[in-house]
Amino acid sequence: MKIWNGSAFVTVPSARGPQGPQGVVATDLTPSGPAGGALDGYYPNPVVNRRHINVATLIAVQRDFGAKGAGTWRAIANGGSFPLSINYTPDRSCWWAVDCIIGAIAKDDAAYHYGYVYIQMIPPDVDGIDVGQAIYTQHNAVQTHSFRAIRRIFSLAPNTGYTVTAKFSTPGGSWQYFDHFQHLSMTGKAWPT
Amino acid sequence: MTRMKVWDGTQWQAVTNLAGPQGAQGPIGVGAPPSGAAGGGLSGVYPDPQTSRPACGGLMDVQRRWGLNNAYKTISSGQDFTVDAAGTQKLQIAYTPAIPVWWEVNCAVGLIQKLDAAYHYSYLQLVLSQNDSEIAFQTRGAILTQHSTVQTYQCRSAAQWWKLNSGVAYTCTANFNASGGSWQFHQLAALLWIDGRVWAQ
Repeated sequence: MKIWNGSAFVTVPSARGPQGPQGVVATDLTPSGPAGGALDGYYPNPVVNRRHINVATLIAVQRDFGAKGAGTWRAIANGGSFPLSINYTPDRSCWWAVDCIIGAIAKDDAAYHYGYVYIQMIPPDVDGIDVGQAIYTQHNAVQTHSFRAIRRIFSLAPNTGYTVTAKFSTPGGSWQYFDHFQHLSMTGKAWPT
Repeated sequence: MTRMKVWDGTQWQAVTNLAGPQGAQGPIGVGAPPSGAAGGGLSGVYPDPQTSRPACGGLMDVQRRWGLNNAYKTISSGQDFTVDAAGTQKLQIAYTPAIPVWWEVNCAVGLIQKLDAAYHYSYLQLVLSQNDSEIAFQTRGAILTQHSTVQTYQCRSAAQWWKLNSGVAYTCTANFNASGGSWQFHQLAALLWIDGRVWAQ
């Protein structure tokens, strides 16, 4: 707009127009930016942050077996060990479920004796549990062959090396076990607490 | 800005002009970290959710109970195994699930002795406090026959995956059932235990 000021037309400035409308909502609502918590990386494609994961999924498995091939009957006496051993050093507190199977133990003499198979963990777990035992009385003409199976779950402390072995205890008599891998096994499975 | 004014013969009038055109529309919105409660396989709150234990199928809980007495304890048919000398604490675990779960129970009685010179069988039985949610059963047993001079010392072990409903308090108890005779078991921690592990269905 112009007005005559008596000697010249002068432009009158106009006021600023109103603010424009807000932009439209994006149709692509994919999140973006850094992820946190149990996730890592960037949205929309974060990955699981394994260092901070809060899921007690299986984190480790250990296995040990007897000998391959045809297998051999081997003598075992009081205090002897079976050729089974597993080790684990967890990086966090965890449960460790250990299964041990001695599938064939033979009593060789005609007298009754009991025989323990036991698993022993060194050092003991956080609650002092370190041994699981299973007993069976045998006589070569009665319970000629038998087996032992032990399943026990231990509570482990982080950054500690644990070893489980399988051993035999008896007050007397002559004994054998079959060392074939189909008859001897030890398995460890670990989950975070 | 000082408005220009003109004299209309009686008073000064401010000279105004129409407002300019409306500004341009703002830009399209852009993505941002999510917010609010997480769901599905996640729990907690965005943008820092946690992974959900039940949704991911992980081990949810563990229960353990073991012997507390380095001595024998006599037991008769129908009685529950106990872990203490007084026989007041059962070899038993308990769990009340917040969601439907599997309850994996493993029990070992490492030494059961037959005291009399006669043959009888005996069971170690796992007894769930009420029926499994899928199949109408609540007992899992393992039997052996013993005689004091033949199968003097024997062990038992039993295991079962129970299917549990949510919001129900369950116990699983180790029970003894025999056809007769005199029996005892040992309450050493290395010879007596029951474990439970919980998994989401």
